[in-house]
Formats: sequence, C-alpha cells, structure tokens
Amino acid sequence: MLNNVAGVLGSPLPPAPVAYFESISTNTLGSNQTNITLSSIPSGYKHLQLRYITRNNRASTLDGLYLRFNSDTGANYSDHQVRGDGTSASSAADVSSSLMLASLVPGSTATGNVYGAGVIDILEYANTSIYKTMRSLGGYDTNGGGQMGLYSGNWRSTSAITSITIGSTDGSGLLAGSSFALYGIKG
Amino acid sequence: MAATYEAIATTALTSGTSYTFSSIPGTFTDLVLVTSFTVGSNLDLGIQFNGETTGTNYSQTYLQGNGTSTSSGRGSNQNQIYLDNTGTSTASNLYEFSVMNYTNPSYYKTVIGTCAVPSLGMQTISGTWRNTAAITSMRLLVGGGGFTSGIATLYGIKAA
Repeated sequence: MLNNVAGVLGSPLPPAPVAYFESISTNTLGSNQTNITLSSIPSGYKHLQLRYITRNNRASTLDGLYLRFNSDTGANYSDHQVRGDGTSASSAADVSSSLMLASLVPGSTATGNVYGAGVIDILEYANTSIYKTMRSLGGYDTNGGGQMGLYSGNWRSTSAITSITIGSTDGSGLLAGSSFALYGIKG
Repeated sequence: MAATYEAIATTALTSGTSYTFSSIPGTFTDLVLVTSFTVGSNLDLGIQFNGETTGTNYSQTYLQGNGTSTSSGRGSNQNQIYLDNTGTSTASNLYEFSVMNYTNPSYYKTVIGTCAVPSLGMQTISGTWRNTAAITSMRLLVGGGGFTSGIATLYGIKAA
C-alpha cells in the first residue's frame, strides 16, 4: 500500500521481487554488556551487512567499536580509517592488531540520548580462497560534537565467517539499547 | 519469506523546493532514502522530520573531499539536517542515507549517509534530530531554484 506522498507517480510500484536481502538476526541489549557475539551465521549468502545503532560504556565522549571474527583474538586484523571530527579530517591505520576498528561511537559521557549508527559490509564472507574484507560507514553527532568516518578492515584468515563479536575497544562494553541487525545478501 | 528491504514510496522531483513522505509506517527497523536529482541553483539539500520545520533541534557532522583536499565540519542548532556541505549541482546529484531504528523511543534519531555531487565533491554525514519520537514523515528540501528533475525513493528495512 502506498503512503500519502506529495507528487506521487501515477504508476504503482512493481510486485516485490524474490528476496535477495534477508534478515539473519537482530540483537538489542536490554542491559549493559561487555560485548555481543552474533553466532551460527549461515553460509548460504554471498555478503553480509550489519546495521547498528550503539553507545559505549567508556567514560568518555567517544570510544571505538570493534569487530572480531570466529572468536579469533590473535594479531590477525588490520584497518584503515578516514575520519572527520567536525574540525579536521584525518587518516589512520592499525596493523597486526587483535581487533578491527569499525567506527567511533559515543561514550557514556557524550550528550544523552545520542547513539552512533553505521552500516558495515563484509563481502564474500564465506569464500575460503580469500582473506575477509570489511567496509564501514559510521558516525554520530551531538550538536557541537561528533565523528563521521569511513573504515576498511582485513581479517587475515581464509575461513568462512561463522560469528562476529562486537565490543568497545577499551573494554568498557556496550550500553543498553544498542542494537545490531545482521542481514544476508544473496548473489 | 516477506521482503526485508521494501520500497515504501517513490516520487518524482520535477519542481518545487520540497517533497514530503508522509504516513511512514512504523513496521520497519530502518529507513533508507535514495535520490538522484538536478536543481535550479547550487544550494544544500536538507531533511526535516515530523513536520518540525522551525526550532533548533537538528545538527550534523560531515567529512568531505572536493578533489583537492579533505575537510570536516559541523552545523549545530539548525532547523534541518544538511545532507551536504558543498551545495547541490545543477548537473547531477546522488544521495543515499539511512535513519536507523526510526521508531525507537529510547534515543534521538540518527541519520548517516553519503552524497556524490560530481562537480563539487563527495561527503559523508552523520546527523541528529534531537527528538525521541518515532518518525512518521520525512521532508526533503532545497532552496533557490528548487528541483528541476529527478526521483526519490524511500525504502524500509525490517530486521528479524
């Protein structure tokens, strides 16, 4: 059913196509947690997309949001970032790291009710011939503060991704209300 | 399986300085707006929610590149979220942005997105509407000569 849209076209929308973008799981924190793991990720898709809204428990105005795959805590991750803090643009990189930086999000002392949001794509997550690559768009704005950035990351493993762990880079955890929705894209 | 990513509504952008998607259903998790258009003069594209067109409850932080340098800035206490800092182009503009968890009453509404204005640059923005109300309408607006051609489609993404 179409909504009441000013200037709506005369032709109706076409029927919904076969689903290529499917919801795999959704996790919304009812209480603060150190981290969250999305497990038992099925292998039947081509790509994964993680859409989130979150706030970390670090006693700061900002904190890093990290990813780990398949519970690998070894120094097998690297990432690059292009970020803006509302004053200047910057770039940074992490190599041989035990976690992959996916975004900067508000910490517990940031303006209340502001949560960071982002979209993370993991392409060819089940391909056992390649290392796994992530790209991320994420940020937040606090009306006088905030961050916006583009991130790419690499997990040096050819294993298919079966789980994703998400947490705060300083270990303080994720605040209640944070929500992570995982989708599979068929190819 | 019911579609997870659905088109809610689409509209032509052929005249006027604003278009409103109203009666947005509350059955999705995220909203995604994709729009490509041309304008009569190079002024910014903005967005407002739920008919709030005055006041100072909107702000954004941006990161941009113009082909010569990168920069970052922000706007605060505004009557709209500006989805670009470079202004729009009379030749071509492409914007895509998401509003996450647009019905959740526990936090302010966050917008993230990108825009490509080939003659001026590209940007990513994060914007905030300081209101915890569920979003039921979304208004796109551009100043000056208004829209001259194009289309905008609003999608809903539903999480499990």
